[in-house]
Amino acid sequence: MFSLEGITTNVQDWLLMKFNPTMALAIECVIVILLSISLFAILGLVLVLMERKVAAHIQIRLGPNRVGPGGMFQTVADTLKLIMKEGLTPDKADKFLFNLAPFVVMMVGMLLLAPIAFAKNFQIWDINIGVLYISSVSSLSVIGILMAGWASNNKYSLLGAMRSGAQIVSYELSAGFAVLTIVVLTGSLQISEIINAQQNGWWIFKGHIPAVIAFVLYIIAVTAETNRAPFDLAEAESELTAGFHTEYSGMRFALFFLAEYINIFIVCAIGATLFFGGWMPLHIGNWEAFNHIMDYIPSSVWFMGKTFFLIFLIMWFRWTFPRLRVDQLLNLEWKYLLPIRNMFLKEYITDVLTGVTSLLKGMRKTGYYFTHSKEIITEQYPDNRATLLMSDRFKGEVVMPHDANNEHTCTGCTACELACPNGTIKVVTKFETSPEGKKKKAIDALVYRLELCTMCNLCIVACPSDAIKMAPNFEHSVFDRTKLTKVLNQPGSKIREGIE
Amino acid sequence: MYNQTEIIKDTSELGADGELVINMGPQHPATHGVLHLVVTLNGETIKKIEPHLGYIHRSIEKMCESLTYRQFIYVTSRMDYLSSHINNLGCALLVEKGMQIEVPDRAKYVRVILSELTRIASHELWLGAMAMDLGAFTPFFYAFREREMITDIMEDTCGARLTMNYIVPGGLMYDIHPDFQKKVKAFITQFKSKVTEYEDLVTNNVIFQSRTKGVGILSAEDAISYGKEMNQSIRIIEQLIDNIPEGDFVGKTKNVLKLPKGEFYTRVETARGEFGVYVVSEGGTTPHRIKFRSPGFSNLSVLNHISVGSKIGDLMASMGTLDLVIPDIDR
Amino acid sequence: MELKEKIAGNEPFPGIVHDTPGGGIVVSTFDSIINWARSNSLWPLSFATSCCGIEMMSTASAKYDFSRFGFEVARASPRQADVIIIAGTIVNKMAPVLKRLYDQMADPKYVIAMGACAISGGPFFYNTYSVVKGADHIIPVDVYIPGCPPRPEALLHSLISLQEKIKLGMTREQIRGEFKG
Repeated sequence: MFSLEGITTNVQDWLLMKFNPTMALAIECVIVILLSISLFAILGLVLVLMERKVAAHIQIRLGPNRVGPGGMFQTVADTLKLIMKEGLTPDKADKFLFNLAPFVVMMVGMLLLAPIAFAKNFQIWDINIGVLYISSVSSLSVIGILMAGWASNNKYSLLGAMRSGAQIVSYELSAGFAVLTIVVLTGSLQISEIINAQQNGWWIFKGHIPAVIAFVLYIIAVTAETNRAPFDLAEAESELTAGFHTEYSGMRFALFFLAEYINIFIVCAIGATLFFGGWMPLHIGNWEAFNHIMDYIPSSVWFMGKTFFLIFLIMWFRWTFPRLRVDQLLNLEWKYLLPIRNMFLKEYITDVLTGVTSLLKGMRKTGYYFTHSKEIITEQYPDNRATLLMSDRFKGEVVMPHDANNEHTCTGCTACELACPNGTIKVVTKFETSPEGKKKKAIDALVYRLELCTMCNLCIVACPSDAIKMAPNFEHSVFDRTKLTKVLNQPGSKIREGIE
Repeated sequence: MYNQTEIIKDTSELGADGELVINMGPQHPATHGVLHLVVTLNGETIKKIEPHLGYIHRSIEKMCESLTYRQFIYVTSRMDYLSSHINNLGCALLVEKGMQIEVPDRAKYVRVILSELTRIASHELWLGAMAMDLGAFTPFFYAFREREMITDIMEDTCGARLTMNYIVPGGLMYDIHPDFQKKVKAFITQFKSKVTEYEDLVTNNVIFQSRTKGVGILSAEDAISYGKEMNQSIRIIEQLIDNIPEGDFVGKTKNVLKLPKGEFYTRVETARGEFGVYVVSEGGTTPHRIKFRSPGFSNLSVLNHISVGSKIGDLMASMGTLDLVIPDIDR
Repeated sequence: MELKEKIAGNEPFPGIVHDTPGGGIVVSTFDSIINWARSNSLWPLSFATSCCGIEMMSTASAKYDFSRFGFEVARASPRQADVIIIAGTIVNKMAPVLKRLYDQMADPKYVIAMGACAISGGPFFYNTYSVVKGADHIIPVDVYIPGCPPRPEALLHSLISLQEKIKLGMTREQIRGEFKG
């Protein structure tokens, strides 16, 4: 079975055999850099697509499904487009900081990859203060955000960045406390030690109530730290248009976009490591057979499975909850997650319980729709053109029916032209001389300007001879506006006999 | 590296105590169109709001002066487009009042049902948009699922989904669709079963509650009254839908409508408040002067009053509850 | 697909088509990949002035769901948007704002005029003093979709038309060879 476990040692042995230790280290560094960049690219594509699909299924629709099989290449197209798009720098922006900011945010994400154990013995740097390293480096991303907000010279950006600063600094505390719980339980700051300590049970099960509370705290705090809804105040689309990255476009915006998802991946990976044992398979007490089967699943699969479960949880939050207000955000942190205000315990518990119940109710509802794909009501338009259920009465455009002899019933009385409130219809008349020598008024052209038409139906009602009617066509898209001016009577057509 | 005076060049934008003046709109996702708010901020706290209007001023009132009494109704659909049917009704009522046209019972029943359906559709949209303003995207999709049922009914009967232009002075433009009653009943059943969903997701949600409670005196009440209004609309429709009388759908009217000389006023309750039509007639085929009393304009005027002292996030909540339709304000 | 044939069938198009300099197999393959990416990733600006905006919302809603084509990433900031759907009337006061929004967008950018008002002033064509008689007096429009308002399928139709236009290299920028990535 394929497993990542032995690869790192093999590679290192081979390199040391071929080169001197310094050279080997340099080559390893290059390999690691290449791997992490490609990991970032792949993760970005996968996570963005996952988010859009999860959102779609929660929202009873299909989501991207046109580009590639099942919409697989949607994010590839998006990325390519963003790379090729013009990268604007506002005139009055601080150009150096403006250009630097997205890279700072990305670099923080890259640094955080170092201590994560992707599989058994598959770790870039098993630093002995791993948890401390993560806590300290993860708070650096706020510098990039503040930089972006300040350098953009945009008030929305500045507000977004300031919010983000307040938010990350506060929530760092409860994330730190949650992580400390596990450090205390394990007795070590090293990631590999923490994972090894969960050999006979993950902390979320083994650590009892403190670990469960720590997990809840952790997941709330990291949702806030990654600026995700319900804590997406730094972007807050309905309030600050796009928050700190309002002025960014093209590739630099893509980096911010990517960094958001990379950060989610990283915090979820750390969460999986701390509370769910990282790559450690699920072991239950002394069920030898069961444990044995679990060991057969590669450790990387365990790790990714747990991480993606947590990522799904965070996405589920996003598509269920409204956003908090900025003062409520800080209240939540300082009064509930860190209960250091003078508050009665009873009041605290009731507040938390009612709040959590209402949130869980909402999540149950969205979860129901996510799991029941029969609730999806999307009609796939260009494919269903043949079966599209359209009302006959739908007012799409005015047409003039002609019979088999190319005859219509329009007398040219201009009732429609008079009834029309905005000059959509223009009747051009001519005088025809009948064989008896009598002059008779007839239409030369009934000019219909679809570009003006408001489908008010007044012309149809006004027409005394039912010469025109509404047709339910709606596919009128054109590249040229003049195409929308039509002559309704067909060339060579004439009025039917007996219509006066 | 950077020069501070260069970045904040225009110091006049900064108020006395380092206040920040930001322009919200005309292109801003929360202004539901092209409202322009000049918001003076102190940190995150709002000190003053100044709405700027006119970004969608289409001179409808002036335009109506050159349209006949049959024609001018259709323009009102484009004002408060979410309750276009009710706007049309208001104008038709005015013409009927002025000319003493008798409207058949059947037309009256259908008018009321369609108006109430429009009201529900409008509130469904409000629910979705409000939740979206507060940062929750999903309720919008659930609300629109029910709204689509209404637009289907509208399309079947009136031939358009949003700007119906189905009401004419004297009655209706044509008769209702044969499936009308069946579809309305199906909608009522569906709607009733889904109301709890909105409650779970929106009104009972702790974040939603804390975002709306105490935000402006009006908004909490509004939020409740919308819910009640939808239920009331459903009750009205239920009472009427089985009892649509047979008969004509349009009363006898002259071909050319002429309002007698004088002043006329009618009002109807749209989804947002009272909509009034005031016409001065000189006895001709077109109004001499027309004035619309649009609910959105009055609602907007309280915005500064209820928002001062609250946060930017609250402004979105207040604007959401006011349910502004900008063309209705600007006309 | 019928639409594709219709557009590919050399329907007359305003403006002169120039041959792009360079050419060759590699460039054209690269160009077609880029055009594929651009056409499949049209992020609209969340911009609406009046009634058509509601139908635009309906198009986003679950029944019509324009996310199937990857259009659902509606950006509130013009810097990040690709296509501006002019949904509603443009009045004289709004015209400079629209122009500015268009200028703020990063290239390549596309414009769809949705509804009668955006195409020609529509219901407000006569007797008004404040309405711009067509958004193409202010910014160049790629696709026009008439209707008042057009139904959601019609908007989807116009978006597909725009996709085809980009794939065929018929947009303003592509023809002028202005922006080649």
